Amino acid sequence: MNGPHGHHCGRFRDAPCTRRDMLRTVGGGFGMIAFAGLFGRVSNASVLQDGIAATNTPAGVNPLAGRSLSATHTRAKARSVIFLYMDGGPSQVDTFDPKPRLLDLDGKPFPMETAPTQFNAKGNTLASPWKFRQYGASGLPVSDLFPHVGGVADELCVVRSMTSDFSEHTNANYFLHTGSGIAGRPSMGAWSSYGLGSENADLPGFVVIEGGLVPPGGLDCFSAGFLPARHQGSVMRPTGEPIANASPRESLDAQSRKRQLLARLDSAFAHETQAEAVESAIRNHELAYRMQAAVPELASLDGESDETKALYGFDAPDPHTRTYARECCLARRLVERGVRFVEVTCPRTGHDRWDQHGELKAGHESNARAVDQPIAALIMDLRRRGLLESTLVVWAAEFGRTPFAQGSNGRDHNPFGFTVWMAGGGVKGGTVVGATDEFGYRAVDKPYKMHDLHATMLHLMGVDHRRLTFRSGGRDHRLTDVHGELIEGALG
Amino acid sequence: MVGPSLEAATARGHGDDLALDVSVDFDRSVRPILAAKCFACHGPDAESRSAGLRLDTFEGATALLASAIKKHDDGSNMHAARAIVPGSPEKSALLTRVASTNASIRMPPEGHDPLTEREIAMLRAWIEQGAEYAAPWAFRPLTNPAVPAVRDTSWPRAELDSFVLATRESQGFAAPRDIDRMSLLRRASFDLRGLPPTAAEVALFESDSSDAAFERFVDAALAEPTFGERWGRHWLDLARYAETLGHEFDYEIPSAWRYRDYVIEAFNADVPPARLVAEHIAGDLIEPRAGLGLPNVAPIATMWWFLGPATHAPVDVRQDEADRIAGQVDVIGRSFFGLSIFCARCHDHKFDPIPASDFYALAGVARNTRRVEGFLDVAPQASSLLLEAARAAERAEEVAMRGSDAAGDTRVATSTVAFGAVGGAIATSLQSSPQSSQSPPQSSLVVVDTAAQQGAHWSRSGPAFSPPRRNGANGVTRIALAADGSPRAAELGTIDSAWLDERLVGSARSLVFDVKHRYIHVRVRGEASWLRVVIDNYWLDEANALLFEGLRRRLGDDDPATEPNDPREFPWRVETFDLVRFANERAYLELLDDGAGWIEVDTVAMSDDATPPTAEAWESTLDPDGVGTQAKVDALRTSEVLTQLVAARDALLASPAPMRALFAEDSGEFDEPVHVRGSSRNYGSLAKRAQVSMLNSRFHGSRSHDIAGSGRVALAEALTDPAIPYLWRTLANRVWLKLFARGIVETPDDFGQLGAAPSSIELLDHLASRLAQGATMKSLLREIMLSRAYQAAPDAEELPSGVWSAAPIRRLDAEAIRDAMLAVSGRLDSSRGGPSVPVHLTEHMQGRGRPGQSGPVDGDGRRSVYLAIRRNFLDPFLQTFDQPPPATTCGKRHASNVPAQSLAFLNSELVHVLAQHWAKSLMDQEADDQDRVRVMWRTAYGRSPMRDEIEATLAFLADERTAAGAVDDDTANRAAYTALAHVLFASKEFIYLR
Repeated sequence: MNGPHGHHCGRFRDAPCTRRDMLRTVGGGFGMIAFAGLFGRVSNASVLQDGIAATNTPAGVNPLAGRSLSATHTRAKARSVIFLYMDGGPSQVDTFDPKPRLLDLDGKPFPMETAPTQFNAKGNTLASPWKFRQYGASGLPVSDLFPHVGGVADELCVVRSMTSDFSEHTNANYFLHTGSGIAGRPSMGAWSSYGLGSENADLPGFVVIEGGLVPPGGLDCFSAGFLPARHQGSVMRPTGEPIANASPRESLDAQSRKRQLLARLDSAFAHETQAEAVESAIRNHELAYRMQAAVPELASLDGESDETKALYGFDAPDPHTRTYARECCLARRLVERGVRFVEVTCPRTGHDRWDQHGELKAGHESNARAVDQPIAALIMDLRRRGLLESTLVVWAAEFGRTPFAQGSNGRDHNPFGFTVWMAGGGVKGGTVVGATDEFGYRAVDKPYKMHDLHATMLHLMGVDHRRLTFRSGGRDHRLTDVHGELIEGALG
Repeated sequence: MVGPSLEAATARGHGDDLALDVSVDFDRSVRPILAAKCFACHGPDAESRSAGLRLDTFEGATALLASAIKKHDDGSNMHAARAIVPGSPEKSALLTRVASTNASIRMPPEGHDPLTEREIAMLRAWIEQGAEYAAPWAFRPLTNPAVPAVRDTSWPRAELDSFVLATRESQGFAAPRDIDRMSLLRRASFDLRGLPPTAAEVALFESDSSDAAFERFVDAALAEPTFGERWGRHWLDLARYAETLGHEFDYEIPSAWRYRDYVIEAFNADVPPARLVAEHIAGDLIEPRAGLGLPNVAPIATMWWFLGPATHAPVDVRQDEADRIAGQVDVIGRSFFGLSIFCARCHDHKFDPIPASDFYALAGVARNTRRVEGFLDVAPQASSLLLEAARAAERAEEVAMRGSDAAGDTRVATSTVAFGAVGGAIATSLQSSPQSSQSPPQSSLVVVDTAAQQGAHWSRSGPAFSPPRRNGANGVTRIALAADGSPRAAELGTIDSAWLDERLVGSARSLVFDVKHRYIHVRVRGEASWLRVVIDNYWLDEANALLFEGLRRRLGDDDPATEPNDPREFPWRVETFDLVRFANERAYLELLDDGAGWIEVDTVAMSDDATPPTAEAWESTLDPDGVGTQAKVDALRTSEVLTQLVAARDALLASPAPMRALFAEDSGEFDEPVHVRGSSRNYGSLAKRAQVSMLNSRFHGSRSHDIAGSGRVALAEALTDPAIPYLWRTLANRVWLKLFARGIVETPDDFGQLGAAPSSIELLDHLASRLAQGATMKSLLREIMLSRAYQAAPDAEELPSGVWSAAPIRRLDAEAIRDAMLAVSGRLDSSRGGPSVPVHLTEHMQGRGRPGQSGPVDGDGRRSVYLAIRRNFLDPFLQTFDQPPPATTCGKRHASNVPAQSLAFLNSELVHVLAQHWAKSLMDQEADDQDRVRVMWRTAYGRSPMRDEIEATLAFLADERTAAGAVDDDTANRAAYTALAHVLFASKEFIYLR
């Protein structure tokens, strides 16, 4: 039986990656690097040295590493993105946008003209049940829902003037994820993978860590849309089989015997057909074979130190905190290995996401408890490993919530002004950008849209959002369509 | 093709001294440059045009430039006067600007890529030669090109062979060699039925590989029902076919599978393409066609309009409708025009000659087309029985009326006048813009509908509601039947689903009207039935009433003990709906009697007052109404007409009940205004619905089609006109693409400027003309498959563009891979049609709307086309192999090559289960290893194994038996063959076609 680095017939090898001629010269070497890539960080330089950087790869040959841009447009600050998706829409006035005026009017009619919202239920003003404190050297105010995140406040750039075009979850989710309110467009992770490829040829460029809640709109939020399918978000689970079909159903011995016969048949077919597509498929099979061993190792958090585990909250009393802790730790392991874009979804806390149309206090508390410590730990862990400066962490939802009540104790959707924040990856920490009105209802200073968030994220990755295009259905599409302004105040 | 093209000349190194004796083809060589580099600011879209200059027309490009008005002191023009001066490149400002080395002058401006030297040389040569503009190729009329002469006359078999060979010979390439016969068999089998040839077919072909044998195979395969399953699936890609609506909860589209079955059967029946397309657009309005066991199957095709995704909680329902319509127009544009008409939603198309008014001409058609979950006749005689009943009722009413007093006639006449006036008012208020109509004073009651003549102007489906009858105009007595068959005098001026029998089902919809007042009041009675107000064609309140609470009401859930037995004794009540959120939206009423209940509506009125109208107020609007005289009706008891009426009713009741189905129905006849910058609140001028300029005078001479109702019939007529090229070219190209893996046009859904040019317009038009002249899909397929071109072996090298190359080695598509595994393993259940097999859910498939139950891992052995397609829970195996997400038309699938595919073969439960099944099937047959291996090779690869393959395989089986350890022979054999089956599934030859 051939070992993982062996080859069966001399005609093709384990190396999965580049043109045929290149394979003949560096193929064996690549196998080593590819494999190493799964277990630890491979620097760009070492890959380049072996002549198989993604940039040199003709599109369509390397299934994973192909990228559309030969070089970034500007100097990239961020190499990777971790997108913390706050499903359902946390309330801005209860988290990062303090509005003391609401206390004065609590329980009284809301004094502003309002637009129809999802349930069109305009109740009285509802003050935040949580106190805000100032944190760090910057004095950034954070509510008591997020005490741990408060501890890393000096890393955050809080954008308080985000807006969305949609009041419904699905359209707003598509808008947040794809820059368009309709289904079927490529997700921002897919655009990142398409534009920049994956730094690890053995892992997808876009991974979604699914904690239990797939956003309304379903997997279309992670779709490659009209981009080639390899840019589709690969769903990983923090428990069970991490990636679909990556766990062998039989012994390694049984696999090896089959592999030998298969190699013989495939080799004859490849020889006869002389088709690049067939050779590619054969290389993929070898890669898949290795991924079976590598993915479980990647997904296993057993090797993390006790101190790290405690930092994230592996032993937290709340089981949802423990779930999200594993998700955040896994996200770090993925960016360490060169995955371009990691989206982390929320665990199912039993409160219908952050979507508190009623029971705001119980629901937000439970959701915040699940994510607060792991998020803070992620930022600290990235920072101490020197990864924070090259990793952009984004905390965002499809919209915020109304400062007035729905029913007696809930809040309706509010797309007119809400908060997202960024950290690391070239972002200016400890800052606030934009503002809502005195009640936290509408963005009044520097209102931004999702396109602007996308433009800024791409910019930090060295990509000019106006120049990353893909032609489909008769037009050149962009993540930002015909929109997109940089959120200048966030740029360090 | 006329001689070597300019590109060929430049590609071969003559770029420096561009040979001006070679004629420049504007469409192929010049327009793409202008489109890519200039049209964004100087193209068809007036709104984004800079400096008043347009370069997409000869007139625009040769007009005096606006900047030319600026003069130097000496009076000479400051700049060259025209962008293009035909014949004079040096005088053409266009060339000066694009070639300038001064960045502040050069076009396109900074930040955009400048033109390459070759592009500039091409423009220069074109201007030198006269700067001739031609209509873009896709917009030109079809030609029927002469069959070109070829040097190698021994090669062509069909006419199309000469066309493809000509493209090769013109650039010095010889004809390709023929493929071996066994590969041809496998290729044809997958192409026609999406399944591998059977072991018996392989054996037969190994002994007789004559042309006649192949022809017999093609004819037999075309006649198999598997043909429709294969080609129907291709069609479903165009229709963005899915069985759920996606978005948050992924609600089901009721009985969507009937559309899938319709498509499969239509392909099997070889319904002519013109008819197929006409049925999609207007199947409810055109001549009936029997199919699927129904007397008229055509309405099912119109479900196609409504297969797109939909959201359940739009805050702005008008915007939501506009978005849904945009999706529909997109599918029409890509599928049937091969054009991105969708791009003209917000402005004139940037690159193609598609004005925004064309988008709204189609949007108008869609907006006057409503989605109905109605009833289709199952019994062939049902509609005639219903008419018979209505006629018998008319006669009975005439009998009853004899001797009636004149006053009664007068009252009814008033009713007719009243309806006419009201109907006219509705139409008028809808045509005028919201601002211009004046609100009547508070609390006045405005009648929307009197349901006169049993709601003659309502549309209805199913047998419950009476067809329009004469008596509304002429009689004072209206006949209905009591359950025992005795006649009863019914209310005049109502629409009633119980007039014949409560058991009959049906639905009825009013004309559309504008919501001009906050409240709508409906005088209604009924039991176990539905009444609803539909706003802007929004229907999803059926699934989730969020935001639309109370617009859909269930009638008659009262205590049965207190209910009267006779519908006539039910008291009238008033249902009042608050439409405060829907001011000025377009609405209609729907009545649904879907079971043993019934519903009767008298009058519909609006007011700004929440209080239902008093009896007096109704009375003032309901003047002509009243109940006929029971005495006169009683006199009918013994009459012959009553016997006929009862007989018709009984025959209807004895017939199979109608089928609930989703289809389209005309709802109005209003032209849609152009939405300025795509805003559903900012209206420009009206676009005449169904009058698409591309289909008419602009390119194809003046043609007129009578535009009635939504305009769908007129649209279908124009699209399927043999002289209009779009449909025929797109279809011909789609067929070619599926057979050769490459289209004549590589972008099958976009024949516009940003799409690809045809590699041979002559070949495309040759095939398209055949379709326009009436060739069916099967006849065209047969012709192509028997050609030499189809039977060619893959070319060893990549040929230049414009040169036809034989079908390359290609991977099977998703469904064919799964179906082939089912077929060879013996698991294939070849039953046809019916409700879909639920999707098998893995733990990676999570989210809202997740079905409560997972489907079987092997899909019960059913072909992939019969697996459920849920937008939010797509089958992961099929997705991995590029089954397209059902977002919009997808005429060309990706052929991705990713490790996830290999992982699926290594470890998916499906592959393992089917490998076990294959082994079991083999064990069931008495045979030795060699025979079994031979059968496996024939079924999996369509050929017999070679000796070394047999040897290696026998050795493998022996190893596997050893590895199975101390078990009985059966178990060891089973394990060994399961392993072998798994290897064959995972082998590349299994999923690739030569």
